Amino acid sequence: MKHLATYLGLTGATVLGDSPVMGQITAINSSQNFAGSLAQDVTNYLAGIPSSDEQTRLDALFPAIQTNDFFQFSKADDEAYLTEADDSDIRAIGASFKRVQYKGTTVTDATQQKGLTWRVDHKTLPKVGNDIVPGWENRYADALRKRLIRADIVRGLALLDAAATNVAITYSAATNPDGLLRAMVQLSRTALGETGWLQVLIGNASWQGRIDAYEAAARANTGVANHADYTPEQLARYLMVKNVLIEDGVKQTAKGTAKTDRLGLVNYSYAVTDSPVIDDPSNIKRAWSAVKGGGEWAVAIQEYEVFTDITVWHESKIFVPITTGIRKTTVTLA
Amino acid sequence: MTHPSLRKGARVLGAKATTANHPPTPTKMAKKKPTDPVDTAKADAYYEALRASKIAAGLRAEDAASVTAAQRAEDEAAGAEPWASEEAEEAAQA
Repeated sequence: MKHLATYLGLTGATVLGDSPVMGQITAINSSQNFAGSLAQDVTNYLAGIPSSDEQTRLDALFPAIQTNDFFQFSKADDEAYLTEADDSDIRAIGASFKRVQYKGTTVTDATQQKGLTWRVDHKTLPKVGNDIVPGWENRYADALRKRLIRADIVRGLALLDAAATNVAITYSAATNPDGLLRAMVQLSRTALGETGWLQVLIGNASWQGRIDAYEAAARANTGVANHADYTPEQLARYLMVKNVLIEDGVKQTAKGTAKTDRLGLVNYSYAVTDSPVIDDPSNIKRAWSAVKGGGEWAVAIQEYEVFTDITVWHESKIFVPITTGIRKTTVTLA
Repeated sequence: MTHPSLRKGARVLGAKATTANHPPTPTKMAKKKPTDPVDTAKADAYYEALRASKIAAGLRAEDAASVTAAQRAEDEAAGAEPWASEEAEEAAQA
């Protein structure tokens, strides 16, 4: 195969000595590879392991859709919601069908390349005898991937908050927190048309405050006290939405600082689909484009004598195709 | 002395009292709007900062403008003055 050397070169391998010949073993090692060569085996490891809780949470919050580096979508306008209540959809004899036009604007966006590099000192690695225990690259790459996922969750929550219209509410023994959530959901329904697509996201402090309000000894309306025991599924049934998510994650953005809630005294309702396409009317989506080597995640490893750099990266962009119907309530506890 | 018929809200002499010539009955007061120039300036500054924060969070400029406008309309309809509560918080922390 006369192009074998070229093919091997494209993979990042540098072959010493004579050109490789089919049927003969050609030895390469990482020191002969280009600097920071793609570590396909570690990449495959990341692709094969079960989704972590954080990955599952990211996909639930912001459903993913594969796109190219640059992608376009049409922003929906009111035309998409119109209904012919005047029988104008009925064609008269000899006439044409009513012509409609969707004049939504076209938006061009692009995925962002996001990644982290971890310089791993060989002195910190477990050894048996003088040999480093193998498999450590996989664990460190997985740790970097989880860290990148956490960053995307924080980024996406900030974007969701920016796109939402807010109403201030109070949780107390005198109010019905779930009734206030139902009012928020109804505002989304009025804007979007139905509740079946809606997802309600509740911050951890809001969820705790809701339970406290129902368990309050001073509560006079004890008929709803059973709401304190609602699971997210039961609350979704009560609100008539697709699902309820409790965002109870924490974040720490600087060394030595305290961890804070990713989401606190706040609730959101917005529309999502399980399998988004580029032009479905979900309120928020996560576009991702394939990285070098295919797949969603890539790993590059560069070895030195006393340390190794591991880089994990992905290309994605969380975006809001339509802000209509994204509702928020900020909670005061009383 | 002004002729009674010329006084403001005066009834037309000889005419039956109708809603056309009877002083209007006070209607339900509309929700308070920040008509005070100082309140309006504070409101404008608050919502401009809100719009900028939405763009900083990654929202497109036109979406940030529309969401901020919708938020302002809802706040005014509800009589809410979020910039006032922000000022109170800052004063409490000072």
